[in-house]
Amino acid sequence: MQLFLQGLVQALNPSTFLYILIGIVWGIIGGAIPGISASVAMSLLLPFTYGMNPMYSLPMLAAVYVGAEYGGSIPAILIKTPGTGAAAATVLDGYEMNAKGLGGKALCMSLYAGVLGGMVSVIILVFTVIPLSKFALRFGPTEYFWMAIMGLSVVGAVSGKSPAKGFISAVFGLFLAVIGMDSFTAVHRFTFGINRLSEGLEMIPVMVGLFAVSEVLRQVFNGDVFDVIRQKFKMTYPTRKEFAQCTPIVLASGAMGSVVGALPGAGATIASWIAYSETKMLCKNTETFGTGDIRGVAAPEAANNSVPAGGLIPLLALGIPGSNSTAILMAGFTIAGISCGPMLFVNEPEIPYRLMACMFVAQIVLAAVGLLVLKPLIRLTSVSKVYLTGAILVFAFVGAYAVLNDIFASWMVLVFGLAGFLMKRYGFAPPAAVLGFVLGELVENNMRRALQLSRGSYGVFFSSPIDWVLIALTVAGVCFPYITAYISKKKAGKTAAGK
Amino acid sequence: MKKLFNRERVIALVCLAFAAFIWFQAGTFPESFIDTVGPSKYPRLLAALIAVPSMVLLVTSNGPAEPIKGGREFKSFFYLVLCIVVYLALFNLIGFVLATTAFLLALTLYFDRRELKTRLKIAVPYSAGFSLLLYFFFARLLGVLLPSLIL
Repeated sequence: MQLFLQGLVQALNPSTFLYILIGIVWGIIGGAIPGISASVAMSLLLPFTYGMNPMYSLPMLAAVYVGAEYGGSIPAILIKTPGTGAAAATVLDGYEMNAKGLGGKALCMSLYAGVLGGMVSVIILVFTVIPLSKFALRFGPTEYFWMAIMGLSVVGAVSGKSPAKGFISAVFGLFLAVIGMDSFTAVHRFTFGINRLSEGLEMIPVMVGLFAVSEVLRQVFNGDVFDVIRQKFKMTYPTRKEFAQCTPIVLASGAMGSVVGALPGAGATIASWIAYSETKMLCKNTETFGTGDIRGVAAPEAANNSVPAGGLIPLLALGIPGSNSTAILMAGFTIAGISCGPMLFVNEPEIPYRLMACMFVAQIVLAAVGLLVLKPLIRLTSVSKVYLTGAILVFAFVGAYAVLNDIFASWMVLVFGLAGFLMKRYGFAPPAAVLGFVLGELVENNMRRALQLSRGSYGVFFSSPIDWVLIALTVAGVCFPYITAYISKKKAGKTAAGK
Repeated sequence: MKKLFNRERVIALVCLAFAAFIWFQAGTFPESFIDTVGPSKYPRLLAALIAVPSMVLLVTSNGPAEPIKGGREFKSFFYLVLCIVVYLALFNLIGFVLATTAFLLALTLYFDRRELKTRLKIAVPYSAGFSLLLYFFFARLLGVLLPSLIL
């Protein structure tokens, strides 16, 4: 707790505060633009964290995540287009409120719920992360191997319609991590004589290409780039009674969202749907849900804004990213030369606590910025996509260039952008490939270390009770998204039928 | 013949070919005396992990494949890719500001479907202004060494 309080003081340092502010503004903008998700907004900013002090880069990336989860609700409420997948549940009541001329009220409630839900999840994070990391200190190579495999179980949630293609995408990501010089034997693998590949593929060109550029290429190919959305808007605010009515829902949904966020593969989209369904099930007078009920905005928004802090629980304690956005945050740690996982709490405990404190401060900054930029952001949702497309591409290429000061990185962005586009077009899952790429080194190194220690015996992977627990959690992680998706689909169907 | 080689089966065959490439390429890596596992076993394991679901896809993809949703703007797509290739090729040659202005101008003039006069009124200041803004942000504020011809 003392470290957290120290972190709070550091988070309020003007420089750190400025970077949190930049992250929040960037995140809100990214989330508010349909097609730019939290992960795309984070990946575009990632290259500029090279050479930056981790005291600033990590809070900034985390703030982008926080801001984007809120920003997604703006187009969801105003133009029935969720800026992020997580804001899809907000459309049901948020857009109906806007249609009744209560869009301002819905946006304010979304901000209030997001901020309060986010604060609840940071408090949960502070109290759960240490016990989990202490447990993880008992881990050896096999446990780390299974833990990385458990991290890959998220693939089910991001693989779209075809689990087989999702699996292939993840293995493709693992393969990308193999490219370069083998760290055990110094043998060059799959470098094809290209010297620049001997150090392995740079994280940023791969991520920016697979996330941001592939999305732009997809939108151009599908003709979505020609869409122009315009909307007139009048500002309204929630009443005290509405705030009082929604606060318990926000607190409960925030707690639930942080638990869901901590589960590999679940993520903000599932959290918001569960919160919406549970609120509808447990509250009184729910017949107004789906027709513009303010509680239908508060519940999903509190849940999806609590996911970023929830996602930090497995990332900080175990070194396992549970979603695309936390995978990018993990890349931010790697760029800063910091390894996530239990040893982080032993060697440099001030770093995770500072990040948690910054996440808490980010919620307050979000509240202030959210109110200030509400009106200008509403205009952003009506900007022609043609102009945004160009800006995103330039950001992506220059961002990658900045990493190596070499145009080779920008060419790699194009290569992975085209690869991501083809993957999306033919039903594969670029996020699964990114996850495989991020976890690839952890999987291979620990697998080989374990086999070296056991002199080639594969029985070592099933030798400890922790191995079996992790295997069971992996199986549960693979099944969980399919089960929750089935439940959410059923509940969403019922909601639509009721409406 | 069309039923036998539907889109999903072609995808499965491409994946199988990719798996085979990894497998055989990994076979060319020299084995090590220091490391009992060696540099080739893990890539070969990955090749097998790609091959198995590919086989499943090949066997289970019967009948016509589901059509892919969304439009098919081939012309726009290839124009965009061509613009990117030219932009990256010119990046070091003519400098960041000129290359980026030309790139943004080429994109906005092509994709904006309004009258040419209206397009020019927005596209020219947008392209030049955005390029200069980014140059000052990256090169001057962040210290990125961007290639420059005129600045």
